[in-house]
Amino acid sequence: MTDTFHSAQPIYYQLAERIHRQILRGELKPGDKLPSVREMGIQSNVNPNTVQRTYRELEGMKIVYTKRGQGTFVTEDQDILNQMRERLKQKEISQFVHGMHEMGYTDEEIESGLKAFLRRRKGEQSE
Amino acid sequence: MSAWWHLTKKELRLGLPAFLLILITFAVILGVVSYIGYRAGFLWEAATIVSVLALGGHIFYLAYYLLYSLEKERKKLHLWLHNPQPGYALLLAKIAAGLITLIVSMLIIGTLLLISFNLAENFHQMEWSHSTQLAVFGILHIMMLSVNIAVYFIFFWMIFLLINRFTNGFFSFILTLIIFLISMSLYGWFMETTVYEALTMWGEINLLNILSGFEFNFSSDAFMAEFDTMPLYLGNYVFEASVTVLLFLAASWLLDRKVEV
Amino acid sequence: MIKLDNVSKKFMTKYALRDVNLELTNGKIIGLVGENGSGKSTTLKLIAGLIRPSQGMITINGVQAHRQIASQVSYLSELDEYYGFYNVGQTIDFFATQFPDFSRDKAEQIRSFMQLERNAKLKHLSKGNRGRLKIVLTLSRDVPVILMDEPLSGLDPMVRDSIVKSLISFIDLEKQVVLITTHEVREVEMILDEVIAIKDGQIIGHHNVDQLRAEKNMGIVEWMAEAYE
Repeated sequence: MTDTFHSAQPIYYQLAERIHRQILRGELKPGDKLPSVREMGIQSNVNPNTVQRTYRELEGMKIVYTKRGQGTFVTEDQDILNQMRERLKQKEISQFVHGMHEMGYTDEEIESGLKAFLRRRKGEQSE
Repeated sequence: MSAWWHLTKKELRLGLPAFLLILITFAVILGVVSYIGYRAGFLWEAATIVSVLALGGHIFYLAYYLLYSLEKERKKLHLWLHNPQPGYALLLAKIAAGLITLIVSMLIIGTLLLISFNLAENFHQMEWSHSTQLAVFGILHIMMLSVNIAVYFIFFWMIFLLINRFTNGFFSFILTLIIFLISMSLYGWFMETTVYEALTMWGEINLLNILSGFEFNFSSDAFMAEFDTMPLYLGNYVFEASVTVLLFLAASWLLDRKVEV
Repeated sequence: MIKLDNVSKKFMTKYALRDVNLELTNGKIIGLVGENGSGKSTTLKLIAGLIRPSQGMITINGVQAHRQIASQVSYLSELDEYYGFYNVGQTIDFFATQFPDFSRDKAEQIRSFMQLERNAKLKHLSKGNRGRLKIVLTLSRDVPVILMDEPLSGLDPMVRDSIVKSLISFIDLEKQVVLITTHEVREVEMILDEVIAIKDGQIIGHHNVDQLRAEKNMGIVEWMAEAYE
């Protein structure tokens, strides 16, 4: 079963995010073929028009490319993939920091808290 | 054409219960009357009379068949009307299905009539000349009248459907009945006029010539007199046929343009 | 393209629709949402030519809607009335004979996707399977306009999911426009391109759904709640 989308955000955008993550996690590797528009629609329960739009956006970002008559593929250009990786990292961090600020934490508290959290996690995992 | 024929096949299947009900009812009545006749010693005579009456009753067969078929359809009008074929084709499919079963029904009852008539000795004492012509004349008229009445029925059914959009079934029926009675009395009044006479009273057909020698041993004079006072006109047939066609076209138009789901 | 030009529909003295103007373009799945009795079914029947406007004009690709527009329109009724003497296969075959654009191949595909038995008697079908059969009959036509009146209403989640999936799989959005009425917006909101809200016979909003999400940060349900106030 596919997980659902948030109804208050554009679906094409959420689908693009989802594909980004699949690439980061290595579920989609450079050069892999993406499902066809209709297949992708069926897999994720969204309108083929939306999938079309998602693919178009991803293509605009050069993360995927379309071979005429063959389908849509993940780029093999490592630079672009690194850029994407970096961009997503920045985005996630900025969201986190924004949230922490909203709750009134200072930069120092965030930094020390994050370090302590990571240290503790490392300890747990090595046990 | 193929779509229409497949539609007609559907109509045949839809109307099957109506067709069977008539045959079953006939069989039951025939059984009861024959039994009574048998007790009185007139088995075949009784069967003959029942069959003749049943055949005559077929002038209402088509209207009855269409009542059943259209009433079934009324509950799923969107299904019947969501079809690219024109209204007249939809209605003709029903009429065709009705006619096919009418013929089958008349064949079955007619065969029984022939059998029982041949076995009914009491009837053989009468002289039956030209009985084939009489039979053909009768059967043709039963079928023509059946179509005629059926088309009147279809027309008023469309009126009923129109009224039914706005009010419940019972009240629509009453209103339709009132409209029917008013139009029939207007029609009756029209039949008295000289216009009607001019339209219909031409091309006299001498029935006596057609059925010459058609005589009963009993009361033949009275029977002949009856025929004399009721002359047949070709004009009458043409007029009724035209009215039937016009009413059919009107009903098709109503179905296409006015009836709503 | 479907166009409603100043369309009103009156039953006796009561307006079911009032001064409706709409333009629906090809290649979209469009949701028509609103409360019961708001005029959704009336709108669909008008486009299908099964009822006629009291005022105004409805055209489909330039042709005025009339009963025989059935050749351009595939209409799914909210009622599930079929001919009870047919089984599933016979019903499909009958539809195939009545609509020249009906594709038996597609019907077979959708039927097996829906896991309907060809020889199942209609009388014995569950409500869910009748709902599925309606989808088979409606989507098998290669027709410019598909109208679906409450295709999900009263069905359990499994069936709804299979219906939504079949919409995605079997609609040809290159050529077709799909208009769906529903009061269960959540079930279909992910597959809608546009949404039209209707209240008391009047259109109170018509939006591109992703635009709505991007600009107002709102899903259809939130937007409807706002529009309906």
